[in-house]
Amino acid sequence: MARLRRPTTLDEALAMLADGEAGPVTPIAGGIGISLAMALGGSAPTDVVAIGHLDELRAVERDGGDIVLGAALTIDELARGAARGVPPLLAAGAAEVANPGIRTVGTVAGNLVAGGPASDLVAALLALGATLDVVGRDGMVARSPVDRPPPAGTLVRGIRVSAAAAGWGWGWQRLTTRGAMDRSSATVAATLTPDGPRVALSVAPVRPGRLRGVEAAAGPAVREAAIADLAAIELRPDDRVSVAYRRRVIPILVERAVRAASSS
Amino acid sequence: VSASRPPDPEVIAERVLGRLRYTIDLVRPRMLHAALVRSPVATGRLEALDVAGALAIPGVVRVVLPADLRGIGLTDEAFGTMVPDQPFLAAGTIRHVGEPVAAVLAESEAAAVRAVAAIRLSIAAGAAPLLDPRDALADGAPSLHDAKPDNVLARWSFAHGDLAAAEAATVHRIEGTYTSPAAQHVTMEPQVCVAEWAADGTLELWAATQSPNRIAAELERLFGLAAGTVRLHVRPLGGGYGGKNHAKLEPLAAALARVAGRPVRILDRRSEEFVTTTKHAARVHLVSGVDGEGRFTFRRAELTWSSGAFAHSSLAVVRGGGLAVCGPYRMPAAAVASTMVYTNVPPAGSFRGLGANQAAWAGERQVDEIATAIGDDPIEFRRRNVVRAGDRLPTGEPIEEARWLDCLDDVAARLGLAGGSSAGAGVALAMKQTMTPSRSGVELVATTDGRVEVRSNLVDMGQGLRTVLARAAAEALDLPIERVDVAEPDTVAAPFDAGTFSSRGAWAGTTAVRSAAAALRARLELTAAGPAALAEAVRTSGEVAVAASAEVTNEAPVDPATGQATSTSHWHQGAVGVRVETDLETGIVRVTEAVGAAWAGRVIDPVRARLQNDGGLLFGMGPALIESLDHAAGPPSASTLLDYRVPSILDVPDRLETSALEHEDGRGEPTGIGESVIPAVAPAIAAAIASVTGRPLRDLPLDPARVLGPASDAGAYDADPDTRPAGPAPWPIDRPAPVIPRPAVESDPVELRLLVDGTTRVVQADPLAGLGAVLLEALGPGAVRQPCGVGACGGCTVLLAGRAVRSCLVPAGLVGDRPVTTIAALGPDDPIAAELIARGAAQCGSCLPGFVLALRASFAADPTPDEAGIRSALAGNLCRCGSYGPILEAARAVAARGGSGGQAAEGDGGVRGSSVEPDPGPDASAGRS
Repeated sequence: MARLRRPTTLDEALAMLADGEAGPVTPIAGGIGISLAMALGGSAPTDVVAIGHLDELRAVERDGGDIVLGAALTIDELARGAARGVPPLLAAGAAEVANPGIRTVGTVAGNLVAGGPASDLVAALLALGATLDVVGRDGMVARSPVDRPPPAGTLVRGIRVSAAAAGWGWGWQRLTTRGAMDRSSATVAATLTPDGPRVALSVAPVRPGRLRGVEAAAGPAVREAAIADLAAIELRPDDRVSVAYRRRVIPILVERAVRAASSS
Repeated sequence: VSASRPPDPEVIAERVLGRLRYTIDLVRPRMLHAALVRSPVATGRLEALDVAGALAIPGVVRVVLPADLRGIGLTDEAFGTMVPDQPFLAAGTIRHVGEPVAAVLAESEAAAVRAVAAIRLSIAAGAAPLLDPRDALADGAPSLHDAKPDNVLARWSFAHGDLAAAEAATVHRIEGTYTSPAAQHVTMEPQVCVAEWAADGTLELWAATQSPNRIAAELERLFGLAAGTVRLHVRPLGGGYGGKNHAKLEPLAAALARVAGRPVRILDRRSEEFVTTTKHAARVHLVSGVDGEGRFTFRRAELTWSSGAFAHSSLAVVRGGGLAVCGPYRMPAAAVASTMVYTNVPPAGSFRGLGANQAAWAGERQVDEIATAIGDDPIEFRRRNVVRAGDRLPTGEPIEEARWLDCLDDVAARLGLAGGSSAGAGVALAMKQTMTPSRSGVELVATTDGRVEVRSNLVDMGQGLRTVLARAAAEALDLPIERVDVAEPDTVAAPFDAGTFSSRGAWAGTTAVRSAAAALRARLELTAAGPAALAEAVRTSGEVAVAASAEVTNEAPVDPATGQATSTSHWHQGAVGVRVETDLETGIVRVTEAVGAAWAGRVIDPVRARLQNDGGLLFGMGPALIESLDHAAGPPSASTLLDYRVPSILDVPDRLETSALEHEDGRGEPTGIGESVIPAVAPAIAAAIASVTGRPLRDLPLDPARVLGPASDAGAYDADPDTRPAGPAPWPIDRPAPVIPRPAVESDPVELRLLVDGTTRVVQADPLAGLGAVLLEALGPGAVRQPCGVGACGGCTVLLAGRAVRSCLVPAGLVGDRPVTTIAALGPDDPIAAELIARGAAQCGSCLPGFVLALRASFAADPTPDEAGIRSALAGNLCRCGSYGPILEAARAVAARGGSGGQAAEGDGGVRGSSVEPDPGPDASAGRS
């Protein structure tokens, strides 16, 4: 029998996630991902735990030199969150996710988990050196990479990013052809940290990740380095633009993102 | 130029405030819902259906198979308003992906859709599908229809002039092949109809259609009914664009209703729209010549069209495209062969522009190529060659009213190109015939209370025809417009009308109304103005009501030189000019300026003329840049509005202007303008791009890879094949199989308490069901709209605690006690609604409540947004009619006055100001299960 449960605390939520009577328990926050999957013919989950309202998941906290952005902050809150310490790259990226009516409901962790490699925000988080704070039923807290699903039985509690990231230069490029509401065919994020540039690519690759060759290059060498990095990256098929086109254009987007990061 | 006069405020207000009820909102007593079982493959033979699972679903009444339609008295196994070639259900041979093979009838839409998903099909594999006309025309290709063994549905051709002599006089010659892919209309209201048989054997339907009389006549033929007895009603359409022309779902609905003995409704789900009707894919091969002075010597054209599996309106398209392909130019010789070919893809039908789009894409594109090749300015080349009054068209027929030069000069002047084109700019001309001959009847009924009712089967689909008819009647009878009622189209009550398409409605309707008014005046011996005089005249006649009717027909003029009738009674004439920014490194194009000019003769309503013309420009931009459907993989390449993208408000050029040109002496006849600019949009954009890149562009859409052209170091990139993921990705992204309607949520309902517009509604619903679907169930049809179902159009927007959300993607169980606001909470005095109404900012209107609510949430968060803020607030809402211009103007006016005044509608929730604070979220104590 289908059920939707609504815990009052994070601990309660974690307990519910572990007590599935028949099959898996699905946590949902805004519900966008699961609703969309169902609309596209996916099967409905039968045991659902709502977590979007939990205070523990909606805070913005300072932890030493880091800021932890609650996993259930909406994408719209992230987009408008510069004053609360959200790095400007992440705010700018969030402002281009889907459309306003989805950003007010969808959450940052939901975007990562439901979107997977198709998430724009993965690129931003990789370029920011962010990690996920995940919590397990036993209270275990761990850090998990942003480009992998969180370990089974855990929930994403927050996005951990250096507080200093608010001051880093940044660049952001999405490959789209419609003025609004276009999913990207390739997303590049770049930051200029005190330790040097960080550049990441998501959406287009099968596995999103940093472009290490680009990070080691400088100035005019960036485009060539991007071409070389890309040669080792497997791209996903895309109905809109071919792999060949993306291999040609992504280095240009990388160059533009790096240039913007260096000049902002 | 007439003074600007906003359209009838009531007609606009009912759209802005979501109070207009369309055919999709109709519920008949005892009505059953049909969901169609559609073929997942393009060819094959249906061998068996396992329906046991479907019949076990509560609410399912029966599954109708092809054999069930044999005993219901059909006179034909196939329907079609031009060619009867389409089976009601594919009885054996399957001809395209998505073809209906069976229908489930159920007490609810949800049950019917679930049942479809539970049916198992056994299909014997067929021959390799003929997806491209070249395959279908190949020697030995299997035949789609026995009646057309070579798969050629129709050929249409003409030749004029001495081609041999013209080729001999040719100095420069250019040859090319130009392609246009299929596309989809994307009406916000999909195809929908309800059919109902009365006990006395008469058939009544409510259908979202542009051609009620034509469909009624086809139903009379199919069911052996007396002419004029099928009663078909049409509510205003939620978008048409040619997609609701000709019979589509209506014959099957009537057959199913006959089988069931109950009213039956068929509603296309969005994914089904893509297999129900499309724009024709076309390939056009052109050879043109010019002499040493830059004048056309000849053009030879071969047009090959993909009709899809059935004819629909293809006979009109094969001719309309052929007539337009040479363009409005002086051409001493021309030879055109246009061939319509059956293919194993979903049927193509009329699409705003009807064949002229594909023709102009080729014809106008080649004009620019010629001008470039001979070093001529493309505007000057067109001026030199364009037909003028008294010239002959490439068909050899004379043209008296030639206004293309006026249109060209108008757009050139407004883009600062009067002296010639410049890099980054492009122009193109459009010509399109109108349906000839055709006829439209109107009846006027005057009553003793001093009112007049207009009865006409012209359909209002956002172009405002009801207002046009009312205004024409009021003027002709000297009555205030409030005294004129316009009845809904009704094929039994109103006279015959050929259909609302081909941009003929405004001309035909006003002309017929004026004639009928003259007849009515004569019958009543009415000389004085005003309602009292009219009432008195009716009373004097001794009747309760006095009717008079008139019919107008259009016929092609006869060429005095040959005695032959010419091609069309009227040529729609237009021009488009654009400036674009082309990113030379990525190939991404942005149209920064777009101006259009349409010859209107006389403008009846400047506000609506602008909406139609602006909307036409935007409608043309979609297939030019981002819209296409292909069938190379079998199913259509898009089946949702996530995949099939239509222009958004952020695609609107910074400058978008259109003009409707009028006769100098003010006495011109009004002519249609709904299609006069569309065909020129894609070639104008391509010309602007090519002027910068110097590369040929011969295929639509103008996607960035095409704009960029082949890589300079081709080996490095182009040899790279599309790779497939070698192993499982960490998060596999499943691509859903398209076409088959989706199952609704199946789990058990729980009780939810929703606070909607200030009233608590207790509903039984699955907690994961979409809020929109639950609201529809609780509040009744039309309360919210669900145009796309995947969060991609904004038509379903409601406010949740004051924030705009997509009601299709918010699980109802997550709402908790947060207040929900629908459009019903707002009235005409709402500041946003009032601005929209004052500007007449509505065409079909089905998207507008979403815009109003999105703006409301935005102004609550930021009362004085800048331009970027306004645009981004509306970036998630699609208007297919293209009313973005006045919507933006209304939003700017509200912002300039300091927002929407903070007036909270009843039940409007929480958010005011500070948008960086986290949403309080649903109350943790509410709705726990």
